[in-house]
Amino acid sequence: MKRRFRLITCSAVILASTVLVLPIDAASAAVVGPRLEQPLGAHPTDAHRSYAVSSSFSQPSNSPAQLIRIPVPAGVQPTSVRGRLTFDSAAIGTVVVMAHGVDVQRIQKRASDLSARITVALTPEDVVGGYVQFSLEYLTNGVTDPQQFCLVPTSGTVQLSRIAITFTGQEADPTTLARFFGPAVTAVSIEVPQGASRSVEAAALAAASAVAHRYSRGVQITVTEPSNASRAADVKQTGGRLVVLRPTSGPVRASIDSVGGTHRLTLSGSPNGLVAAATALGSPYLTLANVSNASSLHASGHAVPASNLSFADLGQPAPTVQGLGQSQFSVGVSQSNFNAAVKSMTVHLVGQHTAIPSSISASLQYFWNGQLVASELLGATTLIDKKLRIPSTQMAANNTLLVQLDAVPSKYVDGSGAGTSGRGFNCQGVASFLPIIVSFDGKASTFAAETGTSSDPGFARFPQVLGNVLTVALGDTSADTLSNAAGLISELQFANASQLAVEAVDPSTLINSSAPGLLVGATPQQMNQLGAPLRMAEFRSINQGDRNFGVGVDRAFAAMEAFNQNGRDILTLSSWAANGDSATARTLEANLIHSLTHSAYGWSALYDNLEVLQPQDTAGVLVSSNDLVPQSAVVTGFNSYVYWIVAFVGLVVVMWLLQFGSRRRLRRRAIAMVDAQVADQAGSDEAP
Amino acid sequence: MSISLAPVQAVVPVSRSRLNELWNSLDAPVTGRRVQGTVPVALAAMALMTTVAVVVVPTGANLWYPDSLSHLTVARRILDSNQPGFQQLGTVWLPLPHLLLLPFVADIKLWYTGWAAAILGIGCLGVTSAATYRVAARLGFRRMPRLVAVAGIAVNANMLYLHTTALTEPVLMACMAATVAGLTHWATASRPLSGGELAVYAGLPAAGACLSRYEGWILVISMVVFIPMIDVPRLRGQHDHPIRFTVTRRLIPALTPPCIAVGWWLAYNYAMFGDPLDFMIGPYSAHAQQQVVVRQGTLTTQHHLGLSLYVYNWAVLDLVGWLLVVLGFLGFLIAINRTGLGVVTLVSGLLFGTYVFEIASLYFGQTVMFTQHSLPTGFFNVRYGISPLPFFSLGTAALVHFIQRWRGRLGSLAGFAVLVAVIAQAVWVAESPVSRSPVVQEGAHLNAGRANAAAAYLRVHYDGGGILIDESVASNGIIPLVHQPVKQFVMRASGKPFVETLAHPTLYARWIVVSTSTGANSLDTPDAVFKDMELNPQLFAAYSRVYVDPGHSIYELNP
Repeated sequence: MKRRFRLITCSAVILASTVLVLPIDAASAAVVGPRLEQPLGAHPTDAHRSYAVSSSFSQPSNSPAQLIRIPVPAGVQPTSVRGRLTFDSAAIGTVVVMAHGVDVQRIQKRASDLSARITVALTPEDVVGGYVQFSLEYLTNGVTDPQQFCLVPTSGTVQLSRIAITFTGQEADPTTLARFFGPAVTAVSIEVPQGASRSVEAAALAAASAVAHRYSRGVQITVTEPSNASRAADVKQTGGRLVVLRPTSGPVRASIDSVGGTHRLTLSGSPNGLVAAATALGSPYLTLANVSNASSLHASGHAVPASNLSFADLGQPAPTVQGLGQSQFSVGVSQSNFNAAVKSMTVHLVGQHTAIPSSISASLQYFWNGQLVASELLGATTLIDKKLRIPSTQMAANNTLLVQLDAVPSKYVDGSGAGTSGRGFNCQGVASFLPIIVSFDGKASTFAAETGTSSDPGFARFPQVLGNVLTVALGDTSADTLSNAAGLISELQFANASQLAVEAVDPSTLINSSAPGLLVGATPQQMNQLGAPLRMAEFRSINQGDRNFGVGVDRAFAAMEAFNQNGRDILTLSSWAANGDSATARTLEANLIHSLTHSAYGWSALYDNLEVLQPQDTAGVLVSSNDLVPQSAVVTGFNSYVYWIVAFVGLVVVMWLLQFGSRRRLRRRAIAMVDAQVADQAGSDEAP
Repeated sequence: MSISLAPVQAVVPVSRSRLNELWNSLDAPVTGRRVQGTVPVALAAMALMTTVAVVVVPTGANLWYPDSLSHLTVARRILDSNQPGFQQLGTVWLPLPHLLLLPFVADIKLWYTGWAAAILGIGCLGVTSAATYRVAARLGFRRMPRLVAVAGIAVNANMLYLHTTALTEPVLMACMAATVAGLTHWATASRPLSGGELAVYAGLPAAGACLSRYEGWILVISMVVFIPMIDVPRLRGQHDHPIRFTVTRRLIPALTPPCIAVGWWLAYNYAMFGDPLDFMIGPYSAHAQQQVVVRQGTLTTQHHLGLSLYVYNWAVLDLVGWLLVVLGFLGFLIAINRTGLGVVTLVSGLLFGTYVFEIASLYFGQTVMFTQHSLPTGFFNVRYGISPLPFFSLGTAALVHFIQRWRGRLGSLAGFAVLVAVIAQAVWVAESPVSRSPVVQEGAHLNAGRANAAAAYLRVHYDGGGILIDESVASNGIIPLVHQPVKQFVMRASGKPFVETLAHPTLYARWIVVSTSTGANSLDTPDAVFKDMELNPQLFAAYSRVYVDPGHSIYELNP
């Protein structure tokens, strides 16, 4: 769905500002044709190697079997897939794994089981279109076939994770730019020269964003310099890709090759040109680059806010619910789908349903993020024209609209009872009941967004509040700061529907601007300038009993903060050590980013507005800055408001002085007038 | 049978003429004690407040503030408790609001629905509006500025909501407005009022203010400044010793009632609790409550004037509204510019005293406020921002008054525009009060943390017997919500029976309601009953837990 939406938004907006030119020496395939047909590198063939897949899959109990598709690198032959099943309930049941049409494994789950392992032997017919395919079904409570029940109780979910594919053969070298970033890529390392200029750093960050835009979360993306190469993603493994940025004086060129088994894309050219070229790596039109060498590769611009999206835009061209019992469909809609922060939403559903016979009661339920927001009985008319107003209190960064049809016979044909269980009844319905179908128009049914913020300042406002433009500043020029920024940007990009346009600026520019942005490696002074809720100094939590941290003067920490400053949202990464031990502090920053990029849920798992990592922690502690005792730097930051009193008293005194002066003048005039009158009177009295 | 239209036709001109008369009376000059239009203004305000109450009370929103429930309970337990009597007034709050509630809470339905408080609120808004109208009229304002002064107060959504609750602000506002009206009368009267009259017109309502909230005490201190500033200049040349005359013939009579009230309060504290300052430093005082905040390190306004100003000014802006704050302040400045330290300025200054008091309280750490602009943010005492509303309302009226004097028609138009804007602002807030009114939002927030579900359980399942509860825990302030007479509750305010019940619960309590929260991050003291249960579980072995939620439990004595 995410990819579909990318196509739509990109075609609508990015095209206007994107130019992807491939005229190089590869204007026609004939020029490079012979080379393309040859592998760019040769590797020894290993038998039964394996590679890890970072994706995970979730399967609710007693739901229809889920088809799981895992991309396979070209040239390899999968022989088996291994994975770990994790259960979230104590239900007793069975997990059924099906491949090539047969049950290949059945795992009995006891109440006490929390996890289990699966190993599925694969045959060539299990690889379809470059994907390993198998199905997963989770049955509990004695259910043997969910299709035979309309209302089956769910008993938790099983999650398949830690997937590894064992294979024979050798990954084929990508021969064109179009194939370089194939679906089976698992890790991308972006390398820049040591001490790279700000423009090259910007290009690296743009590349990280572009690559993250191509993939869903799980693909490891790093940006490193030679000095911190240990933080680079392992690209020697199957599915690994290396992107090298090489600043030169000439025009931008992109070329792919393979070095020591590592598939490499080299972007060379002027630093400014590299930014545009790196941005183009996220473009869907890269698939047009059927060449191994290209020049003038560039893209710019970003998707602009959209106020309306149809269900079709979000991957539901013709949603339908049907049958007796319960059936449902859902549409996922993120705020970032609108390329802006969304305050509230109006959902307009347009559709038709079959005529409802008197022997059946049917209703539609509308759930927003699991909460019932509307319900209607079907029957009066076959037209569905429903508007749902979603207030800001129910808006999340990622939302799900679930439409559920409940249809039950009022009475069986034999006159007995009602309901969806019992003899002779199943989901396909008893023959004497007319089918119930509700179809929605995927183009006419829309989500209309009202832009604005629906949550308090914090991590939940990102990335949608960026409006697809990520202004980023690095607090220093260290390689680790660049790597940290790349880690953050890739996570933000994974959470964003459209590609982020990365704009690198100086910290002072970001601080003085009104645009939302990201400041990585911020210094204590910069944090003070931004008015961050947590300054780089010692602090403690309000309720020590509820928190597992309490920072003293001698304990370093790294902190990621999301806050509002002068009406714009800022995200910062910074650190502090009491004794000025900047090395420890920097390490903590790197660890904080590592814990974020290697966590199960990434950005979506962040809440509140502050994540703090201390030396003894393996993962950061999420907390609201409101739960911290305000630091003295924060409190004294309000001292300037004392001038309000000065201004107030000053105004009062000025007004009073003006009145006082005016009164004196009037009095003088009055006295002068009276004196004059007296003098006149005296004169007239003296006159004969 | 024929029907004649004649009577109907006759009624119309009469109504019109009465309306004209009424309209004209709002512009009539003040003659002696009589200020035409007072009664219609009071009735209109009461009618508006009645309408608001009819809308709000059935929703239960008037009971959202735990303090509101506590005030109702304090008033009711004077008549209905294990040990009824005036000692049930306690020392946590000043007594007048509870005493005024007495006739209404005597009816159990009026008590537990909160209508008792709403009825008092209707009366209070009537008094406040009428007094404000009289102040404006006596300051020489014409019809439009008078109406602006009244509308600024009476058509403020936050103010209206507070008047549906049993919080003490309505009584304070009414007493303060009446005091200022009395003082304005004295300051502007063509015939000098005697000390006795001043004591009646200003001293008595000031005494009421002193027994409502501590802002009233500041009002009395302001009077000490106000009266000489008015009186001494005009006595110069008439008396040999104007200061002595002012002190003996004006100040002392005016201050006698409030001083008696304060003295009575100190004496009451001493008589009932052995310490005249128990209300200030006793175990249930605001000071004691704030020690929790001090320990947490979140009394951030203390000794930080900048932050105190920031927090309070934002509260004022949120509650009073930008329009009135800007216009009112402008009006105050123009009043100084036009009249110097004249009556308009000094009366406004009198009302400004509460603002100074609130800032000083925050700075000295006597008050804690958690708002969306405090450090840390939160919801606690947000409503304090309503106190300077009369100052800004009168300032806005003064602005209209001076514009009217400058350009008559323009002033009327400005006044009309202000009226429309004030009404529009109130309507806008009323459309979504929880999100747009900080006090309603604070109430909703506090209500969300209260044991409403536990109260509902008890309301449905209670079938007799004593109910043991530590009502001093804020989230336990649910007594009216149970809809049972207070005498069924054994609580801290019961005194000795509470202690005895803790020692022998099965003898006196069939039901036990406890807060199971640790209280580590709240301003509450831990629940004494729950603490007793933890320390002496054997005493409670005969009880079964019949209700539980994340913060509260209800136990019932086994049959």
